[in-house]
Amino acid sequence: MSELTVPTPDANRSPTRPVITSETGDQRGPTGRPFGGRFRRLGEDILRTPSALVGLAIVGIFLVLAAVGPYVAPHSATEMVITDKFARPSLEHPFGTDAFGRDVFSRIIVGARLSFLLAATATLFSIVLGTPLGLIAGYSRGWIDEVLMRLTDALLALPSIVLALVIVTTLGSSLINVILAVGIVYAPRIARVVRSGTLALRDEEFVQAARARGESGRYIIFSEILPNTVAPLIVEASIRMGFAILLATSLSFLGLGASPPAPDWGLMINEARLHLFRAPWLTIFPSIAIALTIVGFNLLGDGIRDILDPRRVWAERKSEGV
Amino acid sequence: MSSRVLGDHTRSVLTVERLNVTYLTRDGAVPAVRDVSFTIGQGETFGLVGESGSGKSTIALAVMNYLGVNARVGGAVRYDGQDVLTLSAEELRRLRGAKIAMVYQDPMSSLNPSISVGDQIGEVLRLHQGISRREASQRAMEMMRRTQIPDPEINARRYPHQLSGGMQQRVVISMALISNPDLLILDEPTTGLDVTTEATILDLIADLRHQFQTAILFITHDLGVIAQVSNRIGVMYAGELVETGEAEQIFDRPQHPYTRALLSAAPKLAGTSNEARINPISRRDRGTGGMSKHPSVDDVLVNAADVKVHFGEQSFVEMITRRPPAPVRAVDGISLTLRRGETVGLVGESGSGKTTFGKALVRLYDPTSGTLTVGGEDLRRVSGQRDRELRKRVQFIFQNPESSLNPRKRVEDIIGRPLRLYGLVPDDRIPGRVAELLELVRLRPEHAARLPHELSGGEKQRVGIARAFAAEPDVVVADEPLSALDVSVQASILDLLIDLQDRFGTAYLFISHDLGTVQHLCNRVVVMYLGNIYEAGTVKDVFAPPYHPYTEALLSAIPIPDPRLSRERIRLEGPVPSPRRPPSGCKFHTRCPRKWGTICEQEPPPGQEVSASHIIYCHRPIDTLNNEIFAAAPRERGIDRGAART
Repeated sequence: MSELTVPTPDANRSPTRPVITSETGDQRGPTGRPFGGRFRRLGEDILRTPSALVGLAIVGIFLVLAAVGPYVAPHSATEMVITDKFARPSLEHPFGTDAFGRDVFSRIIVGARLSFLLAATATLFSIVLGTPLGLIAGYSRGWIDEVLMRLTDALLALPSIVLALVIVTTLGSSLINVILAVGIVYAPRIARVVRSGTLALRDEEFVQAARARGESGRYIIFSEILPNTVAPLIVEASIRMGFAILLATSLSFLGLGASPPAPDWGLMINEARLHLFRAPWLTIFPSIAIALTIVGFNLLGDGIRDILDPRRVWAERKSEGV
Repeated sequence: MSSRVLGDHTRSVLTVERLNVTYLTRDGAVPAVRDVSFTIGQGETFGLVGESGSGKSTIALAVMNYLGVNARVGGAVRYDGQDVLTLSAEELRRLRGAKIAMVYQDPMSSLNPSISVGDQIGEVLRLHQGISRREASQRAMEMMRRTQIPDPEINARRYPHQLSGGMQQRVVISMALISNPDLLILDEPTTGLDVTTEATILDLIADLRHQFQTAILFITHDLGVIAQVSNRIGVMYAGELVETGEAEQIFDRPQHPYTRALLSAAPKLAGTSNEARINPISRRDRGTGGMSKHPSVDDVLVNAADVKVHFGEQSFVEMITRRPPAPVRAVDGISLTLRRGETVGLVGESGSGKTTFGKALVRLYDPTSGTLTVGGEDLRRVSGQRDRELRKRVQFIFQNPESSLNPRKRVEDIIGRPLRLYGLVPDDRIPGRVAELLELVRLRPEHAARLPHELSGGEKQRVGIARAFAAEPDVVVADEPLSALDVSVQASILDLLIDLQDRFGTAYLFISHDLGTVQHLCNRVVVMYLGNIYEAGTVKDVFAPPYHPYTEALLSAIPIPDPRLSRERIRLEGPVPSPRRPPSGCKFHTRCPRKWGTICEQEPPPGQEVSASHIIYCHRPIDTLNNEIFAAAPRERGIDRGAART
């Protein structure tokens, strides 16, 4: 990320009186930065990258809603006002009301919490499941790698929604099982990402140094390699979050997961489906909410990937070249 | 091929006037180049030498006007009367490639991997002169011939990855020269190459200057290289051009203290320079006569007997056809011993198997056959606690300090880990011991809390050394520990290694392609080629006649930091053959300049004892190997040299 390596001339050191052997015999490199550089700089860089910034803004707004939704929503999410059903969008009800007279705007705001909680725990679960798989496969290579990767291939070959459906129907319909299902569906993708990072790292000299020292495989995997796969994991997790929301809402749209009258986005669309022509806003607004969060997480993930990718700086310099 | 009379040095091709470059970074403005002025005349090579971060590459970028948007530039860069810094994008595009061409350090990154090299060379012409494809390919082939690429018809159709590093660099140079530029900028063009390849590329560059009358800006950190190619030299330090002058003047009468420091830091090959510069006694020859110091058998720490390391990777075709795989014979029968307190140098080109052997010693690879013992114990027969004990006794220092330290770990954890793993000190004493080790490698206690990216290259290598010595080893395998460092840093790291050995009596296996350093540091030298030993002996033996033809070629390829010295040039052509299918008989016969006869192709060479401590594996009788490579002679310069070449 540092643009070009140039020396920071020591102010105390007169250039006409060079000190070739300083205390350590070395000229201090230019990259010496105060501690904590990398992730603080990540924050700064997000603010400079337009797509990441837009993504962060969208995700941020929904996160705030998820945190304080019930307190700021203008109406109750579950209170039915039968006299007010199918109200068109208005100042009173910005997104209209549904078949039971519930305020759609409030339901979306309150529903953000459930969606984000579901997606976040599911993503976390997929990381917990996929990361060790990827680390072990990538570090061991050989038949262990073959077996683990063919298994993940088998899972990846099935469409996510079909696989998730099978899992939830087998385990029974509940929120916990939706989390488990989404986690299992996405774990192979996490494992893939971690494995490719591990493959690149396992031949690094610091890993060779650990092997030559006689370190156990467990130490090498978790203490030497894992900390270095964090960057691609963050990117993947961010993008996965968006898809996890999509998958979880799809499941509740199909009637698995959240049960009425919970203000779940997928459930809302399911209920609105019957009134699609009479009250299209019932379908449109929750759909927009889902689409926005997915776009937000994708922009954020892509932005972080661009920022963390060391080849980016290199590519920029190359593109100016011959 | 007739060379024109030497160019008109008074006609300046490039004039740099009071160039200032400052980078705006988020840490503030960083001045990279300050008030630099110089000119390069037609047919002249101006060498810019300095350490990393001295601003020399920034100057090259400024001349091409390639500087990033965060650079603030002052002064003028005049090419042919116009200021490059003020040209429009369109004018620059016409200038670059056509009039000013640049060659970078890594040839692979300048080549498009999916276009054949012939087309890539011709593309420059088609772009700038709009000539037909056929004519372009004709001209490309002609240029390949001039840059000494063998079989241009065949090689033009190859893709970059099918060529060796030296050949790739020739292709890049062909690309740079095909439009007959007035100015050629070479930024460390030989840094990544083997010394033998480097020598042929430097010859080529010197020849081209005479053939084409090109003005050359040559950037390097290597004084030996710069002495060989430049007429005039500029020394960069901390963004300033501290000294400029004729090559001889810089090397004979350096004015600036930095130049003097740089010259004295450059490792020299004893016996290769004239008397005044000779460094006749290598450290090890004083008094003890090297290896005879500890004659007792008990002192043998490492014993390798006919060690082979083969890698049995099968290609896909071999897997399908079930053909028995051709193993990569990385190490193909090495026998050597290493005694307490001595240093054995392992030299050879890349691909000679020296690193593989070193890694077998720290058990990163298992020998395919043969026995490898440390302290009398066979490395392959131990396990459990004994295994850890043996691993503790042999430590490794890696070549690249950038990748040998985990970027996520603090220095204290990196150095403290062997202490904890081998239980060398109680846990509560670890911070204290880490501080001692830091002091041992001349780092400060506050380095303990740093992350690797907060250290300079030399500091990182010191941490790597501290990590190796934390285990209190008997043997340290050092794999080119200096090659990634600046010259002045190299000298201080070398001193540190010598100092540590004197203190702890550690035995070193020093793997290097830098013969100057090997001569300085080692007691004994083993010369490897394609997995086999071709010459072994004390430093005195190996660095004096009779030489093995391969050793002779390695020695004569080293650029000497003295512009007036020349010597009989022995150049190895072509790349090192694949260790998967090594040549029959003597593996060196395909490139050997002193091939004796067909016997070389049929039988492996016998070991001939020159003396009790010196053995040469060659079919040639010893007395025909008595040869003197080095001759101090006034270098043919300027017009004489040009004429002499035709």
